[in-house]
Amino acid sequence: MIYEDIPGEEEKEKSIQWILDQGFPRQHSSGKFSKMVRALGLKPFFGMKDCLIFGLILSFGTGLMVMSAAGQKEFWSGFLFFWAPVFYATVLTFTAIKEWQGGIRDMVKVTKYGNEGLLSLRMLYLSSLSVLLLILQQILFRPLLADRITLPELIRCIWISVCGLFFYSALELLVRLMAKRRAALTVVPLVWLFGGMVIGELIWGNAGGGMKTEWIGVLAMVFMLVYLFELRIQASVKREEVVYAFH
Amino acid sequence: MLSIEHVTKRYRGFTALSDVNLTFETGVYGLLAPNGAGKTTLLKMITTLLFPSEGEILYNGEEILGMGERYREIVGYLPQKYGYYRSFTPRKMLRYMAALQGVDQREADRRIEELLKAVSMSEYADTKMKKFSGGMIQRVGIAQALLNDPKILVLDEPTAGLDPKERVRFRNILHSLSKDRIVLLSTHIVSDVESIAQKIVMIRDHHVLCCETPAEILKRLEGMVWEIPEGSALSREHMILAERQTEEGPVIRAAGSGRPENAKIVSPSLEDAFLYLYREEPDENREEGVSK
Ligand SMILES: Nc1ncnc2c1ncn2[C@@H]1O[C@H](COP(=O)(O)OP(=O)(O)OP(=O)(O)O)[C@@H](O)[C@H]1O
Ligand SMILES: [Mg+2]
Repeated sequence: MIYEDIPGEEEKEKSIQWILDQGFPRQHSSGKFSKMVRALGLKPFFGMKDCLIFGLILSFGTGLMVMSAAGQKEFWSGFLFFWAPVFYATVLTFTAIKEWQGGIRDMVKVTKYGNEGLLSLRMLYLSSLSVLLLILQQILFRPLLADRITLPELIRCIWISVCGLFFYSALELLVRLMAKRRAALTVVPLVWLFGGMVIGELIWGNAGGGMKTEWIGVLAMVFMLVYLFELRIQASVKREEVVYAFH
Repeated sequence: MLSIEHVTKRYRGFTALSDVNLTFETGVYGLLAPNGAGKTTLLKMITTLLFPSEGEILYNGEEILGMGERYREIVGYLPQKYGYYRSFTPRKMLRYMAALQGVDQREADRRIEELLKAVSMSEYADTKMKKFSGGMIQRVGIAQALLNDPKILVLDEPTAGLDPKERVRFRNILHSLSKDRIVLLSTHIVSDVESIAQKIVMIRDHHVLCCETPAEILKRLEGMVWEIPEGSALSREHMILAERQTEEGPVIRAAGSGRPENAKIVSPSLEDAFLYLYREEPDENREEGVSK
């Protein structure tokens, strides 16, 4: 039996899998996400209908309001960056409040996927939904603006809003991951406003007529990748202890 | 096997539990202690909601916090205050939680049906929970804790709000479950654990006072519980447990060593043990080290 030492196909695969597991712990792989998507489906939105509707109303409401107040496209495209995350932020905030009020956090935390899993999946869904919504809104709003918007301008508007969405969500998630206390999340709007002004100045600033649409797209993709990367970390981080003042 | 090893829990400066050592094997364990003794604190550490300040908790030799989802998968938990979405029906709520537990949808539907029947809520499976009474909600909570057929079932005051009939039903459910899993339940109602708990854990002054069978606990009081007609003299060493009307007039039930005048010895109950073991000792006695 001279071939005894040569590992069989199955063993080989096993050892490769073992090496992979060491390098990329299973929990870190996006396999966890697809497993969760299959197990949970649309359940991360269960009981959140009112939050979603409220988010939609607020997002459309503020959009239409600003547009009717200032119908020029310069102002509009500048405003877009800040306005884009309204839906995402509102729904996320209200779902958190609702969960807290219902008192179901503790129970969710003791489940297999836990709060991190549920929250990460909810964020993933919500951000995807936001992108679709932003595209839809740009198209719907287009005829309403006083200035005529050309197709390239429309695409530019879409990229600016996607850029704004992921700038906000990546920032918020970063604070979530880094901060010891949830209260730190209150600084997010401030940082977002100031950071947004700096980035905004680059995008639509008068110097040089603003950034090229391609570059805005690249920027949006970078923010998006950072956000997705953070999501993966969140889905697999070790839980921290939260001590309530009372229970 | 779940073992708690030298666990201390501090909330900022306040020590809620100190150097707790316990081992749980299959069976029902009743955590019987007064308000504020640290029952919820202990159960929350076992569910990984709180982390021990010192010491560790091991499941089959593995640290539970490190096990992560492998541990949470096998735990069923009913918090002291069961939370739910008001607009949900029990069926929807349970489906939601089952999915989060990683239970396959078809399997979940089958179990939900079964569990709602076990807690006699089948009839209300599709009624919104905001219309429920406290006891009905608690029953949904019990069903929820059992969704994933947990190896470790942690119930924080599960019988609070249940009527006597449902209490009995609940005890029967637990009894049938306890053969192949660890069931931990907290309560301050003696009759909840008297008949079903293999062992009773008592916590006093932030320490585990005992983890014994009900019989062993009763043995501690053997020959110490008396019934005395009202009006008879009682020494300071005796503690009054209860008063009761009999055909011969009112009698006082008291515990303490040494037979009081006119006293009749009676066999102790777990209720007596609870009252006696959690008695408040006068401070001067403690300082002088006088016990009993
Ligand atoms: N978050 C907290 N911060 C500070 N102290 C706390 C906190 N939670 C509990 N405690 C204290 O720890 C002790 C134990 O509380 P715990 O809730 O575990 O008691 P319990 O036995 O469950 O009481 P009950 O029967 O009322 O439910 C109490 O003295 C309580 O005041
Ligand atoms: Mg409690």
